Amino acid sequence: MSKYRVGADIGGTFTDIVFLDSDGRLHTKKISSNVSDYAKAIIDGIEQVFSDTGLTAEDVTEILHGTTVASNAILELKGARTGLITTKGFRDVLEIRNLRMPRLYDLAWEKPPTLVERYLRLVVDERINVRGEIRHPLDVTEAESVVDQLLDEGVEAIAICLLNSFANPRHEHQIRDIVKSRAPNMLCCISHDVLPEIKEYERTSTTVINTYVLPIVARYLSSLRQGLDDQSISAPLWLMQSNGGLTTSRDASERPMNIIESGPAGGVIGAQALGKHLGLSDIITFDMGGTTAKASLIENNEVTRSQEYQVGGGIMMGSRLLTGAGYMLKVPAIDLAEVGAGGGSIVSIDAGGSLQVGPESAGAEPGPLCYDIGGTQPTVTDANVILGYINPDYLVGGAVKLNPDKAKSVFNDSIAGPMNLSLEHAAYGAYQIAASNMMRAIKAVSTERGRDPRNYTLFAFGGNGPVFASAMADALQMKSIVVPPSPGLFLRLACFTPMSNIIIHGRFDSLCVPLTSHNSRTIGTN
Amino acid sequence: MTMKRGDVLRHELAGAAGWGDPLERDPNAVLRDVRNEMISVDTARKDYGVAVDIDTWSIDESETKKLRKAIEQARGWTEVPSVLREDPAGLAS
Repeated sequence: MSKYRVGADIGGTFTDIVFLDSDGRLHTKKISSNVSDYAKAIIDGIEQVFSDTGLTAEDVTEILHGTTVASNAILELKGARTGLITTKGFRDVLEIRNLRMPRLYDLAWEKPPTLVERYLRLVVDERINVRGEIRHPLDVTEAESVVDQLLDEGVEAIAICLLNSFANPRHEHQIRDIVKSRAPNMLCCISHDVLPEIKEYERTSTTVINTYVLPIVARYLSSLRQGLDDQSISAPLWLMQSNGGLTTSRDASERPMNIIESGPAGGVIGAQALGKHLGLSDIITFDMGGTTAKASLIENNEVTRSQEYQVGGGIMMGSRLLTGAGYMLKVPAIDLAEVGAGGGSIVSIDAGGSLQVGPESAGAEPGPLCYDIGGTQPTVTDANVILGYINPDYLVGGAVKLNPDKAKSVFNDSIAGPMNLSLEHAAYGAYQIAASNMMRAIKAVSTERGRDPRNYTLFAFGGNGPVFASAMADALQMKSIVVPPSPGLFLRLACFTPMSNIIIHGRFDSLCVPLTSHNSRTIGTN
Repeated sequence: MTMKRGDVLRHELAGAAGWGDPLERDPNAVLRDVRNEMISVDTARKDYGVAVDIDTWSIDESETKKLRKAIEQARGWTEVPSVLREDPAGLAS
């Protein structure tokens, strides 16, 4: 009996399950994501593969998983009620941020709300200097009263981030001990464990994000494990990290900050592996799903990584000048540029009378018009159906039947009619706008970094990637396109590439010493 | 101005210009501003007409209604004044 590895990936719209054995035999299942219980969709999908194929729990050797549970908790502000304890004078570090804004002179821009409200950010009088020397010892009585205040507020998790704790964590340990002695089960993260690096904003923000999503990720992973156990599946569960490596579910529950961009990373790693196989070393990956499109650059067969990124920053890219829109996370991740354009992006006419696409998405519910499950607004997918780019009888291998007439009539009434265009012309306009929005992501990782897209191969995957690949390659004068088999499931298949068998753990430290001729060779080696 | 060692120069700046009528701000948003120490309980009462109980972190609804009505009546106008680019009603004359 052959043994199967199972890949599971949750997207905003669909959950994908892939079974693969060592001989290359493949079973796949695509089901709608269950927004209220993500784990259930995975268990249901596995169960369906079992009943379709006659496989049993014993045939599963391991489960590889990419998930957006953590990033969704941040984007929807549905993380834990978190308290923060910091050094006196640094209460508003999260609010002041790093003075970056995504658009200069845009008076209407609002900062994303802090993950910890001000009244749950409390301070203690203490000071450790940059060399780690205690200048002002922690006032234990004050620390106890601050901890009590947070416990009285009913916080579910506490983040502790003191100034210069990267140089000496003693006071953070003291406060953590106070928390543990008063509330032994309270989840508590200290910045010295999370990111022992200089720069208080980056460190505070990263520690807070980790704490904020920790209960949700831990609960999700334990309910997924429980669901697997209930199916008598005892195979180990591995999580895809933002950096493209795997980690254990236990490590992911303790340091969820590493799996925030878990899903998108998988596709890039997969493209890298397939590229190697095909002898293509310079690739631009293009991954378009139902909600967003993401581009990334592979050069000399190496993926590009950034040392920090912003969660939920709209268009997101490694360039320092354009950040500031989301939540700062200083964790190594595969560098991706993302735009809010996907198959579910809503096509509308703006106040000035011109055609717009997104960033609002109809998602899985109510979905595009042609899904006929309650959607009332025309989407990019509807335009593709009208144009004949999507076969209405054969989406998800024929499992989802589309209603092209509904797409046509609503698109006609709300877009083509008011704009005085023929139906096909209006649909092609929407297609072109979506394509040019997404080209911004491709340019962000290539042209804007001095790379000429004409020298790269476009690697298109995700449910919608291949539909747009040729139009974009044409406009950017890219000469070749690769579309992998089952592009909609590529993220999941990518889990199986030899590359993603690698477990990557990063560890960072800050070192503050004068650079001299004596230590220049040995610095950082101990 | 000559500063000597030990002198303190204190310069208080206005927070920022407002947007819209404070009496129309959601009382729960005002409560949050008080809780987050952006404004005082007094400011909430005097400028926003919101009565905040800091022991229970709740809003006294009937008191808020009374306060807002009193402030509105004392103003002598009912709509937020706005800058007119043109002068269709001849207000300037």
